[in-house]
Amino acid sequence: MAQDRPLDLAALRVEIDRQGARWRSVDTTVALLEEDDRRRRLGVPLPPDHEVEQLQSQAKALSSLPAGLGADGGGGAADGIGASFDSRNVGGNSYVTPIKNQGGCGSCVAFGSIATVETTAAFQRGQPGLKVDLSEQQLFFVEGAATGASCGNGWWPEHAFTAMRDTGVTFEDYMPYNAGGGGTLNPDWPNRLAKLTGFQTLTGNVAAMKQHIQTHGAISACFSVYQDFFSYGGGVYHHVSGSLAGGHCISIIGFDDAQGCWICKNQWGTGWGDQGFFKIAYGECMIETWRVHGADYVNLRMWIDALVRGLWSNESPDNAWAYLDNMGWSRLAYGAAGANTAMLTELTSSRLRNQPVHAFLDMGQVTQTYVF
Amino acid sequence: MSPTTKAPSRPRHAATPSGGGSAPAPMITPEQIATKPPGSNGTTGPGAPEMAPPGAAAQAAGAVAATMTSATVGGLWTSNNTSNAWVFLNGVGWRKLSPANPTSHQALLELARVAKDANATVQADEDGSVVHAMYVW
Repeated sequence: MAQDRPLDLAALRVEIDRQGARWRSVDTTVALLEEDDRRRRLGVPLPPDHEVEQLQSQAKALSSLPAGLGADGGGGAADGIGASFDSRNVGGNSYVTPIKNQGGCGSCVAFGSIATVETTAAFQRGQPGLKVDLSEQQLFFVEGAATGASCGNGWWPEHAFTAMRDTGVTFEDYMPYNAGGGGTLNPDWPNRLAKLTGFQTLTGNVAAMKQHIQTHGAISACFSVYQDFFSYGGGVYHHVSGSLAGGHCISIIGFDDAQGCWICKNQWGTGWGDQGFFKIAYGECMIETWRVHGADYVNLRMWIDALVRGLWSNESPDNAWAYLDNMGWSRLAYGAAGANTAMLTELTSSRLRNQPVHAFLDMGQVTQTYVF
Repeated sequence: MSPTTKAPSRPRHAATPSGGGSAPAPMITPEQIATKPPGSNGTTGPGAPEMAPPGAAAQAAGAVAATMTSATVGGLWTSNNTSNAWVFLNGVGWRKLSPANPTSHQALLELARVAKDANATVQADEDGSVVHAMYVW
C-alpha cells in the first residue's frame, strides 16, 4: 500500500529545530495512513479562509495577554485560576477516561464532546472511579444523523451538546461504536443515560475556559489541523509547516501557564501523540477562538451495584442521603410518603453487612433499591 | 423526658425534652437537587451532605469537619413521648435527636442505630443538647 505521508519527516525535524519548536515529530499510526484516511478524521467543517485568518489572528492576540487573562480581561489569580491544572492528576487522582479511537470517520465532534462529558461526570462528583463510557455511536449516527452529521461531512459541537442536553446519550454497551455506522440502539436506553442540565459556550474567553476546566474537569474545543500535526509525538505543539488539512474537535483536560499550553485528549488511539494526549500552545490554530463548550451538570440515570460508604440525614423531612461507592452522594427517594425512611432502612442493612446495594439513580436521586 | 447524663445504661431521670420548633418545608425540586452536587450547597432547601467518607477523593473543606462531633455510639434511648429518641455519643454524652419532624427523627435514629450495630463513627452536627444532622461512615 502506498504511504502518502503528510510531510517529509526528516525535513520537518530540521524545520522544528530551526524554529526552536518544543515538540517532536514521529511516525505515528495516523501519519502512516493515506492522505484521505487522515483527512477523514477531521470532522468539523472549516469556515471560509478569510474567517480562518481572522480567528487565527484573534487567538494569537489572546495568547499575548498575561497568563490567566481572557479577552474580557477577567481571570488570573483573583478569580482563583491556578497556573496549571491537569484532570489526569488532581490530588493524585485521574478523572479522564481511556483514550478512544474514532477510526476512519469524521466523528471527532461526538468523541471530543463525549470525552468532555465523561470527565465532567466523574469530576463533578469527586469520583475518579466513576468510569462512565458513553456511546459515540448513538450521539453521532442517531442524534447527529438527524441534524445532518455523516462521516464525510462531520458535525458541529453545538448540536452535539444540544442533543446531550435535550435527549441525553446512552452508554457504550447499549450501542457500541463502529466507524462504519449502523448498529442497534438497545431499547432500554432511556434507563441508561447521561443527560446535561445545560452547557456553556466559552469561545474566545480564556479565563472562562480555564475556570470551567478547574471546576468541571474538561471542555471541548475545535481547532485547525495542519499536516505536521498528524506526526505529533510529544511536547508543546505549534504549527511549523504543512498545509491546512481540516477542522478537528477534541477535549481539553488541563493547562499549563509555565509551558504556555493546553493539555488535550485526542481520539486517534494511543499510537498517536503522547499516548493519545497532546499539548498545544496558547493561541495556536484557533483553539480558543473557534468553537469551545463546557458541560453543566451531568445527570446519570442508571442501575448500579455499589457499596454504601456513608449515610446522612438532617432534620428536614425525607432528607436522608447515601454515599455510594464511585458515585458519591445521592438523595434517597422523597416523592412518596415513607419512601425515604424505607429506603434508608434498606441501605443501613446493606451498610451493616458491607454488601452492595442494587440501586437505580435518576436525576441525583435514588429511586429504587434492592438489598439481598 | 431525657436519659441520664452518665452511662448509656437504662435512663431513669426525667427532664423536659429540648429541641423542636417548626420544621422547614421542602423547597427544591429533583432537578434543582441534580444541578447542585454535594459540596456546593446553596442556602435554601432541605440541605445536602457536604463531607466525603474518610479516604474518598472528594474531601470536604476542613471548616465543615471542624464543626462536627466525631464519636462512636454507646447507646440509644427512647420513651413514650413524641419524637423523643436519644443517642449516647461515647466521650460526649446523651444528645436528643432533633424532633423537628417525625420522618427526620426516624432517619436520625436509623443512622444512630446502624452506627451502634456496626461500631461505626458518626459525625454529628449538635449544639450540646440536640443532634441536627449526622453522618455515618
